[in-house]
This record gives sequence, structure tokens and C-alpha cells, in this order.
Amino acid sequence: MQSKIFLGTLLFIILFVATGVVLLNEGILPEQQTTPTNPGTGRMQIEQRAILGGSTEQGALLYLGNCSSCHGRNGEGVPGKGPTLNPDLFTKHFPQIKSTLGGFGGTVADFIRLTISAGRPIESAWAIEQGGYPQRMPTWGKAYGGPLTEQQVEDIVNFTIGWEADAGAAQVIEFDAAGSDVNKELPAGDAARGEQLFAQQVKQASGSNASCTACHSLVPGEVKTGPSLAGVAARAETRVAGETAEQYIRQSIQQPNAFLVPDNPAYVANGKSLMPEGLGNLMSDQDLADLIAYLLTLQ
Amino acid sequence: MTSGPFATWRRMIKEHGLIKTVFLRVDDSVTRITTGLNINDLRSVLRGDAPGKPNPRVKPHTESALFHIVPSFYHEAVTKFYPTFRLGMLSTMLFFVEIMTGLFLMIYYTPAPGTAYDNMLKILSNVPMGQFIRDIHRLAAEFMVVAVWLHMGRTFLTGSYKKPRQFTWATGVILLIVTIGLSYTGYLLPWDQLAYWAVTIGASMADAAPPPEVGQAVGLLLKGGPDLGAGGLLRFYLLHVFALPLVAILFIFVHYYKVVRHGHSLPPEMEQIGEDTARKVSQDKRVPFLPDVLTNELVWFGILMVALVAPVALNIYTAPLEHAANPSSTPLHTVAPWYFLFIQGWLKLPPVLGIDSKTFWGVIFPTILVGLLLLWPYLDYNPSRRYGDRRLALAAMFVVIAIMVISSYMGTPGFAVTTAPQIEIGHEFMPGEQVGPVRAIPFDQMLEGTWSTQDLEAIPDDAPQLRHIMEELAATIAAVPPVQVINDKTVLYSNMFGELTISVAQTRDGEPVLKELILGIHWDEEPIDPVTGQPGYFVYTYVSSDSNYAAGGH
Repeated sequence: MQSKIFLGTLLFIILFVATGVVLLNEGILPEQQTTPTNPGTGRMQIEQRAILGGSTEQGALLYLGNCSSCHGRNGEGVPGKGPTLNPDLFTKHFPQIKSTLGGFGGTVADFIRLTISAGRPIESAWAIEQGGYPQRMPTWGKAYGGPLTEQQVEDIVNFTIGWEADAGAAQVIEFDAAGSDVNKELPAGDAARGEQLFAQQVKQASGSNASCTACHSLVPGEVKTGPSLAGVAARAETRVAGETAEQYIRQSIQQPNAFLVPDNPAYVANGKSLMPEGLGNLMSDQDLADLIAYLLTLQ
Repeated sequence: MTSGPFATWRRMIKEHGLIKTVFLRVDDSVTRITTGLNINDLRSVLRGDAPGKPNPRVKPHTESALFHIVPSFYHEAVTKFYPTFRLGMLSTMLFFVEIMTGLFLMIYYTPAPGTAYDNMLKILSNVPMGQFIRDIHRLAAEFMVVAVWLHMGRTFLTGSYKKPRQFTWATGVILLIVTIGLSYTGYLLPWDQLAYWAVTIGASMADAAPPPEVGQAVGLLLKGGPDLGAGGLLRFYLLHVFALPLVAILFIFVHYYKVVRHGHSLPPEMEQIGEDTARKVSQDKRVPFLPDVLTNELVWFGILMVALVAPVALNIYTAPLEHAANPSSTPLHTVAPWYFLFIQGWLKLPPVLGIDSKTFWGVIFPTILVGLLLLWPYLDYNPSRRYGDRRLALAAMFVVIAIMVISSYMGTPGFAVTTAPQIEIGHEFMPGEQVGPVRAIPFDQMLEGTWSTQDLEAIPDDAPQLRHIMEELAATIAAVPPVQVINDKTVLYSNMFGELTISVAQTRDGEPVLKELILGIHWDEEPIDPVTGQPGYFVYTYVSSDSNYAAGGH
């Protein structure tokens, strides 16, 4: 009997001590809390990060299967299919939304969640600015007729938001832009690379894709906002007296408003060309020379 | 006469003085609480004195609701470890642990598909002791299923179900079913992939109940719809926290009361055949419940609690939690909970008498078995409880146990499920759910590059775990038979090798925080992978630096 009482007492002491140790390790003590400088050392704090990490992993997998074909494996965008998310979403698109749409009170995460869940049934101003995309962003959330559960959308949000941390760093690319000066000496152009630039297989010096194909088709007579570029080299030869085809094409890219084709109101709005200004700021002299060399082959 | 407030107190103080009055009142309260033992009686219990006459320690058994369902004394022979092994008592204690931990979990849980899984994450990450309580709840549930089965096995072994305890056995069978039902309904509540699909397998059995009209109705009643959804989750929850515990409590009381009524059956060899002497215990063989048996039970409770708390506190046992339930994505190798594996094994058997497998092996056969179990004491006409006289029954018992073990093995994915080896290897090393060996490689050992089982030497020495897993992968691949027949087609698996390609998917402040791992498996006759468009078979996964898998995260 005595030995049983002793054993029982011992067991219950072990129980209380073990439970106490577990409790002290849980993360309720002040020094275990998560602060901006301390990631938090309690079990709950570690678990919170692990849950977010696990969600990010799931999100990455879902992104790979559902999003990467249009937005690129690393959010770099696929020209003609989907816009760049990393880093434009964080550095340009969302700041623009916050400044132009005063009514949007949410965070960037809210915005991503909204866009993934509900999709973009109507082309957004941003997409138009990017040159437009033939396909709209589909609705992905179950609540809006899509295939993904709320949790899955949240996983993708957590993955996408992971780009934000290094988005600022990735964006700064130093290069000498061609600008709008049409008299600057250009290096020799490489038509093959120009074709790759045009087809968006390589990037411009700015890190973004050349946006030519958004408006210009190579099919004779096809109009996608801008005129078809089929046979542009031949047309450029005769367009302005005293200008060579090379000069004409170069001016059209760097200074689209310097010369407006007369009697062609389809490409003009409010007295200005629909061809965006400032394209030269996105490309280096070499990019420009390569593109011109390529366009000159389109006889 | 004294009247007004505290009349009794004032009268007693006048009569006995203040100190004596306080003592008398406390003594009175203690007597009420213990239903019959005053301070002196309690003191003598604790000191180990012999009880006075008449024995005041019997009073709680007649006066108290809780104590009246336990016998006031046990036969000396049944206080030893054999023949009871304490299994019935342990089952009851586990049930008590389940109620206590379950009440705690209920505070943080809402049975709705949108929130249930979120609640689980909150319990794990935002409730102090939340994971601890959940782990104990889960572990105790597993223990309880084991304890109840063993208790039943023991009762059969010692023939304790025989006259006059046939009805006790029947209530025990019902308690077994309720226990499994409690465990099974609880299995669904986390609403993760593991829960959803394991329960879907079982719940689909309800649909197979014959005839089809009945099956459809039963399935609909249980699941609240054609598939498990909001309705099904709520029904399982109500069964788990209300209906089944209610039945369990009711039957535990009946079951216990029957023990008071008939006493614990003595070891078979102590009695004459056909005789039951459990209630005819001579004074010198009696062990009083208070204090001897109760002390013993408290010690057992301590042992049980340590057995539950130790694995949880030492992180040896962690209740699983997979990704949120997704009705549109079935994980590879979905299995029922282990105690239902035998039925899953039976489902792989051929149809009988023209009745399809699911209906016969999933519904009709188990129902027959339960019926047989319930009625067994009434069917067994052998009056003797002695082992020597029950050779046939005992042999049958061990045959049944063997069949259950084999059936359970048949329920595992390893039996009669043919999957292509590349899929098996991919699943083994990088499963869609749970961690798997590759993801458990420490994050900093996931070195960027492509590592091949054909060139293990290329793996740097500072990544021993990466090398170890690649060696295991190489061994697994080497064990694949070069010629296999899959879905009636002969496939050649010659020159098979694996490649693990690791790259950084996301960085934070220049440090990698998310890595992409692609396990590629290649062989001579490899097809084009439909996802990547490349030859071979590929499994993708990502690992976050925060996921903690190497340290046992889940």
C-alpha cells in the first residue's frame, strides 16, 4: 500500500512537471513572442511560421500547375498571355491601384486574393497599358465558379506575396537607355536577335519584354490596334521624302508623334499616335539597333 | 427558539463553542462529499487502519451515484494483474480522458467545412497547450480502441462471458461498436485530406447497404448529401460529441452495474465447472474498494496518463494533419483508419453469391459478425470456463485474430494494388501528403543543382542527408524488376535512374526561403511526361525554410 501511494505520487509529480515544461515551451512567455527583430521561439510561433511555410509550398505547387503557363514560372510574365507579376505587381501595378482607385482599402494580399478568386472578366487598365492580352484572367475561386477552394487561393496568395520581399531589389536594372534621341550613334544591329526581341523570346535591357506584338501583327493587313508590320521595310522607304527606311523606323519607335501618317485616323487619338511614347527608355542602343535590323528584313 | 439567519450556526455555537462548531460543520461537509465518511473515517483510511464495525467505508457504495456502480469489495484473486489485465478499467479511464480533452477542443472548433481546418491550424499555432491536448485526445482514442478490443479478447479468453454474464458481454459488444464509432466520427473532424478520404471510404459502405433504396437512404442520412460536405461534417460532429458519448455513458453504467451485480468472474481454474462463486467471497478473501482498490486504480491512472503525456511531451507522437480536405483531389493510396483496414482488405475479395464485393464484404458480412459476437454467449453451450475444456473455442479465437491481421494487411496499399514503379517511387520519396524522406532533408542541405543516382559521388560531403536519401533512392530503383506487367501491358524498366533537381524558388533579403525540388525518374522506355512535355516521370514539390520538416514538423 505504501509503495503504491509512493508510486502514484511520483507518477503525478512527473505528470505535472512534464505538463509544466510543455506549457513553458509553448510560447506564452514575453521573450518567446514574435517581434520585428525576433522571429519568436515558442512552439506556437514556430508552428505559425511552419503553417505559413506549408501554405507557401502548396501555393507554389498550385501556381506551377495553374498559373505559370501564363505568368511564368517565377512570375516573370509570358508575353502575349499574361502580365509580369514579379516584380511589377508590387512596384507598379498595386501602387497604381492604390493611387488611382482611392476606394481600394485592402492590402496587396487582398488585391491578389480578389484577382485570383474573381478573375478579370473585363480587361483592366493595367493590362491595356501592358499592351493588352487576348485572354482574360479566368475566375479561380469556387465562390466565383472556378476550381480552387478558399484555402488553395490563400496558398497561392501566400506564395505570390513571397516575391514582394525581393521585388524592389530585382527591379533595379542599370542600363543606358536609347531614349528619344534619333541622332545618337547606334551599334551594328543583329536582325536575328531583333527577331527574338520582337517574338519576346529575349528581354529588353530594362528586363521587360518588347511589347510590339501586342499591337502589331505580321500577317499582312491584320490590324491589332496598330498596323500590320508585314512589308514595313518597303513602306518605310517611301513614307517620308528624304528619310531612309532605317531612319523612318527608328523615328517611329523613339518619337512616335514626330510624323503621323496622313488620312489614317485609326491609329491616332486626340492628335497623338496610339504608338506609346517612351519605348526607347526600355531598350538599350543595342536593343534598338537589333529591332530596326529585324524590321528592315520585313520587305 | 432561535430563528432568523444562521439559526443552526448560532444554536450550535451556543451549545459547543465556536471552534467545535467549525469542526462539526466541516466534518459534516466532508461526510456529505464522501457520501458517508467523516474526517475520522477518512483519516483512518489514509493511515491504513482496519475499518470499524459496521464498516463505514461501504457507505459510499450505497449512497453515492458514482461509487454505487463499483463493487464495495473485490475477490483477492481478481486484484492481481491476471485475469483482468485492468483492461476494462483502462478503457473507462481513456473514455474519461477523451471527454476532458474533447471538451477543451470543442471550445476552439466549429464543424463547418470552411472553418474546421482553419480551427485546427489555430489550435496548433495559437492556443497554448492546443497541440498537446489534441495529441493526447488522438493518442488516447487509439489507445481506447486497442484497450476495448483487448478487453473483449481477454473476456473471451477467460470465458467470462458465460452464464450469468451473457448480457454484460452484449453491452460490451455495443460499447466496442460505440468506441469504434467515436474514433471514426472524430477522424473526420480535422477536415484534412487524411480525414476526408479515409472517412469517404467508410461512409461509402453505407451506400452499399442492401437493397439499393435502403443503402441510398442510409448513405444520405449519414453524409447529409451524395458526398461528404457541410451536412456530413455536422452530422459526424453531432454523433461524435453528443449521440455516441450519450450511448457510451449509458452502456458504461449498465456494463459496470452488471459487474456489481455479478462480481468479477474469478480465474477459471478457481471454480467448479458451471459454478459461479464471484459473489460468495469469504471475509478473508475480500479486498475492500476503499481504500485498496481505489489506490490501485489511481496508480494505474497515473501510469496511463504518463503513457499518454510522455510520447506527446517528448514529441514522439504527433497527431497527423494533412492539407485541407479537397473533394476534387484524391491522394494516392487512400486508406481507412487502421482499425478498419480489415474491411478495406475484404473489399478486395471477389463478389459472393452474385452480391457485389462492397455490399457483401463491406456490409452483410460485418453485420453477420457483429450479430454473432452479440449472441455468442447464448450460442456457446459449453458450460466450462476452463482452458482445457475450450480447445475449440480458443483455437477459433486465434484463427479469427490471424484472419483479422491478414485482412488488415490486405487492406494496405501494398496488397493487390498495382501502380507503376515510377509512381510508387515518387510517392514514397515525395508524397503529396505528409512529409516523406526528400522533404525531410535539412533545408541548408538541399543544395542547388541536379543530383543523380548514377553519380552519388558528386554530392558534396556537407550534405550527408541529401546523399543518404539519394543512396536510398538508388537502392529503391535498383530493386525495381526490369520487366513488369502493368494493366496487362509489359513494360521494360531497364537502365532506371533518378534525378533530384533542386533550385531556389524564392528569396528574402537575398537568402533562399523556398526551394523547388523536382524528382525525375528515367528509364529506357520512358514516355513523355504529360505535364512537362519531357521524357521521364516527374514529381514536383516545394520546401519552405520555415517548414521545419527536418526537425519533425508535419
